[in-house]
Amino acid sequence: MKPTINLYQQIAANKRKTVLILFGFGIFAVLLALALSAYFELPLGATGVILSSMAVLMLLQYSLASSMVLRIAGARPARREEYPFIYHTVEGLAIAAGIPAPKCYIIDSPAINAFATGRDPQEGVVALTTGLIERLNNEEIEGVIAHEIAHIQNYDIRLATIAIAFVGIVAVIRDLFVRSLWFGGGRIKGRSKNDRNKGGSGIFLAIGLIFIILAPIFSRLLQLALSRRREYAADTTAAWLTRNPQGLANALRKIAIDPYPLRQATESTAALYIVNPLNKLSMAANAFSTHPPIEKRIELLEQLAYKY
Amino acid sequence: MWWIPLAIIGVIVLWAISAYNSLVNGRNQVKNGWAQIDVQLKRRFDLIPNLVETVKGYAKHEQETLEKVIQARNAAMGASSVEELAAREGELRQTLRSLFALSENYPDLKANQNFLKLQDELSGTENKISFARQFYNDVVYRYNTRIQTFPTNIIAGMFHFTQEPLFEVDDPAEREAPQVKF
Repeated sequence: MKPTINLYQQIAANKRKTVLILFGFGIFAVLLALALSAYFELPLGATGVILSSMAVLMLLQYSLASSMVLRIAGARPARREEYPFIYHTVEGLAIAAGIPAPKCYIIDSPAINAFATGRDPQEGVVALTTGLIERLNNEEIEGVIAHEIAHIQNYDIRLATIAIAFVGIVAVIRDLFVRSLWFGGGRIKGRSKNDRNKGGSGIFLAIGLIFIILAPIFSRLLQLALSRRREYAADTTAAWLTRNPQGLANALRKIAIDPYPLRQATESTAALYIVNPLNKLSMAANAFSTHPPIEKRIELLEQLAYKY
Repeated sequence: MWWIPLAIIGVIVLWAISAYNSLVNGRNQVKNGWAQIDVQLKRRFDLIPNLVETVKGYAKHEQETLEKVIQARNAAMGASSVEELAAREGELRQTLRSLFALSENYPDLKANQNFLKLQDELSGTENKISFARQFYNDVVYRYNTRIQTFPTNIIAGMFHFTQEPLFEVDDPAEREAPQVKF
Protein backbone atom coordinates (compact mmCIF):
# COMPACT_ATOMS: atom_id res chain seq x y z
CA MET A 1 0.00 0.00 0.00
CA LYS A 2 2.78 2.42 0.84
CA PRO A 3 4.64 3.67 -2.22
CA THR A 4 7.90 3.81 -0.29
CA ILE A 5 9.89 1.23 -2.25
CA ASN A 6 8.69 2.81 -5.44
CA LEU A 7 9.87 6.19 -4.16
CA TYR A 8 13.36 5.00 -3.26
CA GLN A 9 13.72 3.27 -6.61
CA GLN A 10 12.67 6.48 -8.29
CA ILE A 11 15.23 8.53 -6.35
CA ALA A 12 17.96 5.97 -7.10
CA ALA A 13 17.06 5.97 -10.81
CA ASN A 14 17.13 9.77 -10.90
CA LYS A 15 20.53 9.93 -9.23
CA ARG A 16 21.85 7.30 -11.65
CA LYS A 17 20.56 9.22 -14.64
CA THR A 18 22.05 12.45 -13.31
CA VAL A 19 25.47 10.83 -13.07
CA LEU A 20 24.99 9.38 -16.55
CA ILE A 21 24.16 12.78 -18.03
CA LEU A 22 27.14 14.41 -16.33
CA PHE A 23 29.38 11.58 -17.48
CA GLY A 24 28.02 11.85 -21.01
CA PHE A 25 28.66 15.55 -21.03
CA GLY A 26 32.20 15.02 -19.75
CA ILE A 27 33.01 12.56 -22.53
CA PHE A 28 31.42 14.84 -25.08
CA ALA A 29 33.45 17.82 -23.84
CA VAL A 30 36.73 15.87 -23.87
CA LEU A 31 36.10 14.54 -27.39
CA LEU A 32 35.24 18.00 -28.66
CA ALA A 33 38.32 19.57 -27.06
CA LEU A 34 40.56 16.78 -28.43
CA ALA A 35 39.10 17.12 -31.91
CA LEU A 36 39.58 20.87 -31.91
CA SER A 37 43.14 20.74 -30.65
CA ALA A 38 44.07 17.88 -32.99
CA TYR A 39 42.73 19.78 -35.96
CA PHE A 40 44.40 23.07 -35.11
CA GLU A 41 47.44 21.33 -33.63
CA LEU A 42 47.06 23.27 -30.41
CA PRO A 43 49.42 22.72 -27.47
CA LEU A 44 48.21 20.67 -24.51
CA GLY A 45 47.64 23.83 -22.44
CA ALA A 46 45.08 25.12 -24.92
CA THR A 47 43.15 21.85 -24.71
CA GLY A 48 43.11 22.29 -20.95
CA VAL A 49 41.79 25.82 -21.33
CA ILE A 50 39.00 24.64 -23.64
CA LEU A 51 38.07 21.84 -21.23
CA SER A 52 38.09 23.99 -18.12
CA SER A 53 36.10 26.76 -19.78
CA MET A 54 33.49 24.18 -20.72
CA ALA A 55 33.44 22.93 -17.13
CA VAL A 56 32.98 26.49 -15.89
CA LEU A 57 30.20 27.04 -18.42
CA MET A 58 28.50 23.86 -17.24
CA LEU A 59 28.80 24.87 -13.57
CA LEU A 60 27.48 28.33 -14.37
CA GLN A 61 24.54 26.88 -16.26
CA TYR A 62 23.88 24.46 -13.43
CA SER A 63 23.94 27.08 -10.70
CA LEU A 64 21.85 29.52 -12.71
CA ALA A 65 19.49 26.99 -14.29
CA SER A 66 16.68 27.27 -11.75
CA SER A 67 16.67 31.08 -11.69
CA MET A 68 16.87 30.98 -15.49
CA VAL A 69 13.89 28.66 -15.66
CA LEU A 70 11.95 30.94 -13.33
CA ARG A 71 12.79 33.96 -15.47
CA ILE A 72 11.81 32.21 -18.71
CA ALA A 73 8.53 31.18 -17.07
CA GLY A 74 7.91 34.76 -15.98
CA ALA A 75 7.58 33.71 -12.34
CA ARG A 76 7.76 36.17 -9.43
CA PRO A 77 8.13 35.37 -5.72
CA ALA A 78 4.75 35.01 -3.98
CA ARG A 79 4.20 37.32 -1.02
CA ARG A 80 3.07 35.56 2.12
CA GLU A 81 0.39 38.16 2.89
CA GLU A 82 -1.01 37.84 -0.59
CA TYR A 83 -1.17 34.03 -0.72
CA PRO A 84 -1.41 32.73 2.87
CA PHE A 85 -3.21 29.55 1.81
CA ILE A 86 -0.53 28.66 -0.74
CA TYR A 87 2.18 29.14 1.87
CA HIS A 88 0.34 27.08 4.48
CA THR A 89 -0.26 24.28 2.01
CA VAL A 90 3.30 24.22 0.65
CA GLU A 91 4.76 24.25 4.16
CA GLY A 92 2.35 21.58 5.39
CA LEU A 93 3.00 19.22 2.49
CA ALA A 94 6.75 19.77 2.77
CA ILE A 95 6.47 18.62 6.39
CA ALA A 96 4.50 15.57 5.24
CA ALA A 97 7.21 14.77 2.68
CA GLY A 98 10.02 15.42 5.18
CA ILE A 99 11.78 18.11 3.09
CA PRO A 100 12.47 21.79 3.87
CA ALA A 101 9.69 24.11 2.70
CA PRO A 102 10.25 25.15 -0.94
CA LYS A 103 9.91 28.77 -2.04
CA CYS A 104 6.64 29.82 -3.68
CA TYR A 105 6.51 31.62 -7.03
CA ILE A 106 3.59 33.01 -9.01
CA ILE A 107 3.19 33.11 -12.80
CA ASP A 108 0.73 35.74 -14.02
CA SER A 109 -1.32 33.77 -16.50
CA PRO A 110 -4.97 32.74 -16.73
CA ALA A 111 -3.87 29.22 -17.75
CA ILE A 112 -3.94 26.46 -15.09
CA ASN A 113 -0.46 25.03 -14.69
CA ALA A 114 2.41 24.59 -12.23
CA PHE A 115 6.00 23.38 -12.05
CA ALA A 116 8.82 22.75 -9.61
CA THR A 117 12.51 23.52 -10.03
CA GLY A 118 15.70 23.79 -7.98
CA ARG A 119 18.96 21.91 -7.63
CA ASP A 120 18.07 19.70 -4.70
CA PRO A 121 15.33 19.25 -2.10
CA GLN A 122 17.04 21.91 0.05
CA GLU A 123 16.51 24.57 -2.59
CA GLY A 124 13.20 23.63 -4.12
CA VAL A 125 10.84 26.08 -5.79
CA VAL A 126 7.16 25.59 -6.54
CA ALA A 127 5.60 27.90 -9.15
CA LEU A 128 1.85 28.20 -9.71
CA THR A 129 -0.11 30.25 -12.23
CA THR A 130 -2.61 32.83 -11.00
CA GLY A 131 -5.20 31.01 -13.11
CA LEU A 132 -4.59 27.86 -11.07
CA ILE A 133 -5.00 29.68 -7.75
CA GLU A 134 -8.18 31.39 -8.92
CA ARG A 135 -9.90 28.52 -10.68
CA LEU A 136 -9.08 25.44 -8.62
CA ASN A 137 -10.57 24.77 -5.19
CA ASN A 138 -8.43 24.22 -2.11
CA GLU A 139 -8.46 20.45 -2.38
CA GLU A 140 -7.32 20.56 -6.01
CA ILE A 141 -4.59 23.12 -5.27
CA GLU A 142 -3.39 20.85 -2.48
CA GLY A 143 -3.19 17.95 -4.96
CA VAL A 144 -1.17 19.99 -7.47
CA ILE A 145 1.23 21.29 -4.81
CA ALA A 146 1.67 17.74 -3.49
CA HIS A 147 2.59 16.61 -7.04
CA GLU A 148 5.25 19.34 -7.27
CA ILE A 149 6.57 18.55 -3.77
CA ALA A 150 6.84 14.92 -4.89
CA HIS A 151 9.04 15.99 -7.82
CA ILE A 152 11.27 17.88 -5.40
CA GLN A 153 11.43 14.96 -2.96
CA ASN A 154 12.18 12.44 -5.76
CA TYR A 155 15.15 14.45 -7.08
CA ASP A 156 13.27 14.85 -10.37
CA ILE A 157 14.02 18.56 -10.28
CA ARG A 158 17.76 18.05 -10.02
CA LEU A 159 17.77 15.75 -13.03
CA ALA A 160 15.59 18.19 -14.97
CA THR A 161 17.78 21.14 -14.01
CA ILE A 162 20.97 19.40 -15.11
CA ALA A 163 19.35 18.21 -18.32
CA ILE A 164 18.18 21.74 -19.10
CA ALA A 165 21.64 23.12 -18.32
CA PHE A 166 23.11 20.51 -20.67
CA VAL A 167 20.77 21.39 -23.52
CA GLY A 168 21.40 25.08 -22.83
CA ILE A 169 25.17 24.60 -23.19
CA VAL A 170 24.81 22.82 -26.50
CA ALA A 171 22.72 25.76 -27.68
CA VAL A 172 25.36 28.24 -26.44
CA ILE A 173 28.17 26.40 -28.27
CA ARG A 174 26.04 26.16 -31.40
CA ASP A 175 25.37 29.90 -31.34
CA LEU A 176 29.05 30.57 -30.68
CA PHE A 177 30.12 28.67 -33.77
CA VAL A 178 27.33 29.92 -35.97
CA ARG A 179 28.15 33.50 -34.96
CA SER A 180 31.87 33.01 -35.42
CA LEU A 181 31.08 32.32 -39.06
CA TRP A 182 29.95 35.92 -39.38
CA PHE A 183 32.30 37.72 -37.01
CA GLY A 184 35.39 35.65 -36.24
CA GLY A 185 35.34 33.64 -39.43
CA GLY A 186 37.29 36.11 -41.57
CA ARG A 187 40.17 36.45 -39.15
CA ILE A 188 40.57 32.73 -38.69
CA LYS A 189 40.39 32.20 -42.42
CA GLY A 190 43.15 34.77 -42.92
CA ARG A 191 45.37 33.09 -40.37
CA SER A 192 44.86 29.62 -41.68
CA LYS A 193 45.62 30.78 -45.20
CA ASN A 194 49.02 31.91 -44.01
CA ASP A 195 49.66 28.87 -41.86
CA ARG A 196 48.35 26.07 -43.97
CA ASN A 197 45.49 25.64 -46.27
CA LYS A 198 42.90 24.15 -43.95
CA GLY A 199 40.03 26.57 -44.41
CA GLY A 200 39.25 27.75 -40.88
CA SER A 201 35.75 28.94 -41.70
CA GLY A 202 35.09 25.55 -43.26
CA ILE A 203 35.77 23.69 -40.03
CA PHE A 204 33.80 26.26 -38.04
CA LEU A 205 30.92 25.81 -40.41
CA ALA A 206 31.17 22.05 -40.00
CA ILE A 207 31.19 22.27 -36.20
CA GLY A 208 28.34 24.74 -36.30
CA LEU A 209 26.37 22.36 -38.50
CA ILE A 210 27.12 19.43 -36.21
CA PHE A 211 25.77 21.40 -33.28
CA ILE A 212 22.72 22.50 -35.21
CA ILE A 213 22.03 18.81 -35.76
CA LEU A 214 23.03 17.83 -32.21
CA ALA A 215 20.87 20.37 -30.38
CA PRO A 216 17.49 18.80 -31.16
CA ILE A 217 18.93 15.32 -30.55
CA PHE A 218 20.02 16.42 -27.11
CA SER A 219 16.65 17.87 -26.30
CA ARG A 220 15.10 14.55 -27.41
CA LEU A 221 17.49 12.70 -25.13
CA LEU A 222 16.54 15.04 -22.34
CA GLN A 223 12.90 14.25 -22.89
CA LEU A 224 13.65 10.54 -22.74
CA ALA A 225 15.61 10.97 -19.52
CA LEU A 226 12.65 12.74 -17.98
CA SER A 227 10.57 9.65 -18.44
CA ARG A 228 6.83 9.53 -18.25
CA ARG A 229 7.06 7.13 -15.37
CA ARG A 230 8.17 9.94 -13.10
CA GLU A 231 4.85 11.71 -13.65
CA TYR A 232 2.96 8.61 -12.53
CA ALA A 233 5.35 8.31 -9.58
CA ALA A 234 4.78 11.95 -8.60
CA ASP A 235 1.02 11.47 -8.88
CA THR A 236 1.20 8.40 -6.65
CA THR A 237 3.34 10.19 -4.09
CA ALA A 238 0.98 13.19 -4.17
CA ALA A 239 -1.93 10.86 -3.44
CA TRP A 240 0.03 9.40 -0.54
CA LEU A 241 0.98 12.81 0.88
CA THR A 242 -2.55 14.23 0.76
CA ARG A 243 -4.29 10.90 1.40
CA ASN A 244 -6.70 12.24 -1.21
CA PRO A 245 -6.08 11.19 -4.84
CA GLN A 246 -9.39 12.73 -5.89
CA GLY A 247 -8.10 16.28 -5.36
CA LEU A 248 -5.31 15.90 -7.91
CA ALA A 249 -7.55 13.91 -10.27
CA ASN A 250 -10.10 16.75 -10.29
CA ALA A 251 -7.33 19.30 -10.84
CA LEU A 252 -6.01 17.33 -13.84
CA ARG A 253 -9.51 17.12 -15.25
CA LYS A 254 -9.84 20.90 -15.03
CA ILE A 255 -6.42 21.41 -16.60
CA ALA A 256 -7.38 19.11 -19.49
CA ILE A 257 -10.35 21.30 -20.44
CA ASP A 258 -8.60 24.60 -19.61
CA PRO A 259 -8.92 26.76 -22.75
CA TYR A 260 -6.16 29.29 -21.93
CA PRO A 261 -2.68 28.81 -23.42
CA LEU A 262 0.36 29.37 -21.21
CA ARG A 263 2.27 31.95 -23.24
CA GLN A 264 5.30 31.81 -20.93
CA ALA A 265 6.01 28.14 -21.74
CA THR A 266 8.91 27.24 -24.05
CA GLU A 267 10.26 24.03 -25.60
CA SER A 268 13.07 23.78 -23.06
CA THR A 269 10.90 24.24 -19.97
CA ALA A 270 7.74 22.44 -21.15
CA ALA A 271 8.84 19.16 -19.59
CA LEU A 272 8.80 20.70 -16.12
CA TYR A 273 5.12 21.55 -15.93
CA ILE A 274 2.52 19.33 -14.26
CA VAL A 275 0.80 19.05 -17.64
CA ASN A 276 2.78 19.78 -20.80
CA PRO A 277 1.58 23.29 -21.72
CA LEU A 278 2.58 22.95 -25.38
CA ASN A 279 0.68 19.84 -26.35
CA LYS A 280 -1.85 19.42 -23.64
CA LEU A 281 -4.43 17.89 -25.91
CA SER A 282 -2.36 15.12 -27.45
CA MET A 283 -4.07 12.21 -25.80
CA ALA A 284 -2.00 9.49 -27.42
CA ALA A 285 1.46 9.13 -25.93
CA ASN A 286 4.14 9.19 -28.59
CA ALA A 287 7.68 8.00 -28.08
CA PHE A 288 9.00 11.45 -27.23
CA SER A 289 6.29 12.88 -25.01
CA THR A 290 7.44 13.76 -21.52
CA HIS A 291 4.03 13.34 -19.96
CA PRO A 292 1.60 10.42 -20.06
CA PRO A 293 -1.89 11.24 -21.35
CA ILE A 294 -3.99 13.07 -18.75
CA GLU A 295 -6.72 10.44 -19.09
CA LYS A 296 -4.35 7.70 -17.96
CA ARG A 297 -3.15 9.73 -14.99
CA ILE A 298 -6.69 10.45 -13.83
CA GLU A 299 -7.53 6.76 -14.21
CA LEU A 300 -4.56 5.75 -12.05
CA LEU A 301 -5.49 8.28 -9.36
CA GLU A 302 -9.07 7.06 -9.29
CA GLN A 303 -7.87 3.51 -8.80
CA LEU A 304 -5.83 4.75 -5.84
CA ALA A 305 -8.88 6.50 -4.41
CA TYR A 306 -10.19 3.22 -3.03
CA LYS A 307 -7.10 2.69 -0.94
CA TYR A 308 -7.40 5.73 1.27
CA MET B 1 39.64 -24.11 1.79
CA TRP B 2 40.36 -22.47 5.13
CA TRP B 3 39.11 -19.08 3.85
CA ILE B 4 35.49 -20.12 3.29
CA PRO B 5 34.36 -19.80 6.92
CA LEU B 6 36.33 -16.55 7.10
CA ALA B 7 34.50 -15.19 4.05
CA ILE B 8 31.13 -16.19 5.52
CA ILE B 9 31.94 -14.42 8.78
CA GLY B 10 33.04 -11.37 6.79
CA VAL B 11 29.75 -11.23 4.91
CA ILE B 12 27.79 -11.57 8.15
CA VAL B 13 29.77 -8.78 9.81
CA LEU B 14 29.23 -6.50 6.81
CA TRP B 15 25.52 -7.22 6.86
CA ALA B 16 25.35 -6.56 10.62
CA ILE B 17 27.07 -3.19 10.17
CA SER B 18 24.68 -2.09 7.45
CA ALA B 19 21.66 -3.30 9.43
CA TYR B 20 22.88 -1.43 12.50
CA ASN B 21 23.43 1.75 10.50
CA SER B 22 20.02 1.55 8.91
CA LEU B 23 18.46 1.19 12.37
CA VAL B 24 20.36 4.25 13.62
CA ASN B 25 19.21 6.12 10.53
CA GLY B 26 15.62 5.06 11.23
CA ARG B 27 15.83 6.17 14.85
CA ASN B 28 17.13 9.58 13.77
CA GLN B 29 14.31 9.92 11.27
CA VAL B 30 11.84 9.23 14.05
CA LYS B 31 13.51 11.92 16.17
CA ASN B 32 13.38 14.35 13.28
CA GLY B 33 9.72 13.51 12.67
CA TRP B 34 8.97 14.18 16.31
CA ALA B 35 10.84 17.50 16.18
CA GLN B 36 8.61 18.55 13.27
CA ILE B 37 5.49 17.90 15.35
CA ASP B 38 7.04 19.68 18.32
CA VAL B 39 7.75 22.86 16.34
CA GLN B 40 4.13 23.10 15.18
CA LEU B 41 2.72 22.30 18.63
CA LYS B 42 4.85 25.05 20.18
CA ARG B 43 3.63 27.46 17.53
CA ARG B 44 0.06 26.64 18.46
CA PHE B 45 0.72 26.91 22.19
CA ASP B 46 2.07 30.42 21.52
CA LEU B 47 -0.92 31.45 19.42
CA ILE B 48 -3.60 30.37 21.90
CA PRO B 49 -3.02 33.03 24.63
CA ASN B 50 -3.21 35.76 21.95
CA LEU B 51 -6.44 34.28 20.67
CA VAL B 52 -7.94 34.09 24.14
CA GLU B 53 -6.99 37.73 24.84
CA THR B 54 -8.60 38.87 21.60
CA VAL B 55 -11.81 36.95 22.23
CA LYS B 56 -11.97 38.18 25.84
CA GLY B 57 -12.41 41.77 24.66
CA TYR B 58 -15.55 40.91 22.74
CA ALA B 59 -17.13 37.99 24.54
CA LYS B 60 -16.99 38.69 28.27
CA HIS B 61 -19.66 36.16 29.11
CA GLU B 62 -17.77 33.21 27.73
CA GLN B 63 -15.31 33.00 30.59
CA GLU B 64 -15.93 29.28 31.00
CA THR B 65 -15.07 28.32 27.43
CA LEU B 66 -11.97 30.50 27.46
CA GLU B 67 -10.75 28.94 30.66
CA LYS B 68 -11.30 25.48 29.22
CA VAL B 69 -9.13 26.38 26.23
CA ILE B 70 -6.34 27.64 28.47
CA GLN B 71 -6.59 24.56 30.68
CA ALA B 72 -6.48 22.22 27.70
CA ARG B 73 -3.46 24.10 26.35
CA ASN B 74 -1.59 23.86 29.64
CA ALA B 75 -2.46 20.18 29.99
CA ALA B 76 -1.14 19.47 26.48
CA MET B 77 2.04 21.45 27.21
CA GLY B 78 2.63 19.38 30.34
CA ALA B 79 2.17 16.00 28.64
CA SER B 80 5.15 13.73 29.21
CA SER B 81 4.60 10.86 26.76
CA VAL B 82 3.51 10.56 23.16
CA GLU B 83 0.32 8.73 24.15
CA GLU B 84 -0.62 11.32 26.76
CA LEU B 85 0.12 14.18 24.39
CA ALA B 86 -2.01 12.58 21.69
CA ALA B 87 -4.91 12.39 24.13
CA ARG B 88 -4.48 15.99 25.39
CA GLU B 89 -4.09 17.12 21.79
CA GLY B 90 -7.54 15.77 20.95
CA GLU B 91 -9.09 17.63 23.89
CA LEU B 92 -7.38 20.89 22.94
CA ARG B 93 -8.62 20.53 19.40
CA GLN B 94 -12.14 20.03 20.72
CA THR B 95 -12.10 23.14 22.93
CA LEU B 96 -10.65 25.28 20.15
CA ARG B 97 -13.40 24.11 17.88
CA SER B 98 -16.04 25.13 20.39
CA LEU B 99 -14.32 28.50 20.81
CA PHE B 100 -14.53 29.17 17.09
CA ALA B 101 -18.13 27.97 17.01
CA LEU B 102 -18.92 30.41 19.81
CA SER B 103 -17.37 33.32 17.92
CA GLU B 104 -20.18 32.97 15.39
CA ASN B 105 -22.41 34.72 17.94
CA TYR B 106 -20.24 37.86 18.02
CA PRO B 107 -20.27 39.74 14.71
CA ASP B 108 -17.85 42.38 16.01
CA LEU B 109 -15.34 39.72 16.93
CA LYS B 110 -15.70 38.06 13.56
CA ALA B 111 -14.91 41.38 11.88
CA ASN B 112 -11.77 41.91 13.99
CA GLN B 113 -8.68 41.73 11.74
CA ASN B 114 -6.51 40.36 14.49
CA PHE B 115 -8.99 37.59 15.22
CA LEU B 116 -9.24 36.65 11.55
CA LYS B 117 -5.47 36.52 11.25
CA LEU B 118 -5.16 34.35 14.35
CA GLN B 119 -7.89 32.06 13.07
CA ASP B 120 -6.03 31.69 9.76
CA GLU B 121 -2.74 31.04 11.52
CA LEU B 122 -4.29 28.48 13.82
CA SER B 123 -5.98 26.55 11.04
CA GLY B 124 -2.70 26.59 9.08
CA THR B 125 -0.84 25.30 12.12
CA GLU B 126 -3.55 22.71 12.67
CA ASN B 127 -2.97 21.42 9.14
CA LYS B 128 0.77 21.35 9.63
CA ILE B 129 0.35 19.38 12.85
CA SER B 130 -1.61 16.72 11.03
CA PHE B 131 0.93 16.61 8.18
CA ALA B 132 3.76 16.37 10.69
CA ARG B 133 1.86 13.62 12.49
CA GLN B 134 1.42 11.80 9.18
CA PHE B 135 5.16 12.03 8.44
CA TYR B 136 6.06 10.91 11.96
CA ASN B 137 3.71 7.94 11.78
CA ASP B 138 5.05 6.90 8.36
CA VAL B 139 8.60 6.97 9.67
CA VAL B 140 7.72 5.17 12.91
CA TYR B 141 5.79 2.53 10.97
CA ARG B 142 8.82 1.76 8.80
CA TYR B 143 11.19 1.81 11.78
CA ASN B 144 9.02 -0.49 13.89
CA THR B 145 8.58 -2.90 10.99
CA ARG B 146 12.34 -3.07 10.57
CA ILE B 147 12.80 -3.76 14.28
CA GLN B 148 10.22 -6.54 14.25
CA THR B 149 11.12 -8.37 11.05
CA PHE B 150 13.72 -11.08 10.67
CA PRO B 151 16.71 -10.86 10.44
CA THR B 152 17.07 -7.18 11.45
CA ASN B 153 15.30 -7.96 14.73
CA ILE B 154 18.44 -9.81 15.91
CA ILE B 155 20.54 -6.67 15.57
CA ALA B 156 17.74 -4.53 17.06
CA GLY B 157 17.59 -6.84 20.08
CA MET B 158 21.36 -6.86 20.56
CA PHE B 159 21.67 -3.08 20.53
CA HIS B 160 18.39 -2.27 22.28
CA PHE B 161 16.52 -0.56 19.49
CA THR B 162 12.98 -0.35 20.80
CA GLN B 163 9.72 0.33 19.03
CA GLU B 164 8.50 3.90 19.00
CA PRO B 165 4.88 4.79 19.73
CA LEU B 166 2.62 6.04 16.93
CA PHE B 167 1.04 9.44 17.39
CA GLU B 168 -2.57 8.41 17.04
CA VAL B 169 -5.45 10.82 16.70
CA ASP B 170 -7.52 10.97 19.81
CA ASP B 171 -10.21 13.15 18.42
CA PRO B 172 -13.75 11.88 18.88
CA ALA B 173 -14.89 13.92 15.87
CA GLU B 174 -12.34 12.23 13.63
CA ARG B 175 -12.69 8.75 15.03
CA GLU B 176 -16.42 8.35 15.01
CA ALA B 177 -18.35 7.87 11.83
CA PRO B 178 -20.50 10.91 11.09
CA GLN B 179 -24.02 10.48 12.37
CA VAL B 180 -26.77 11.04 9.90
CA LYS B 181 -30.04 12.29 11.29
CA PHE B 182 -33.30 12.54 9.45
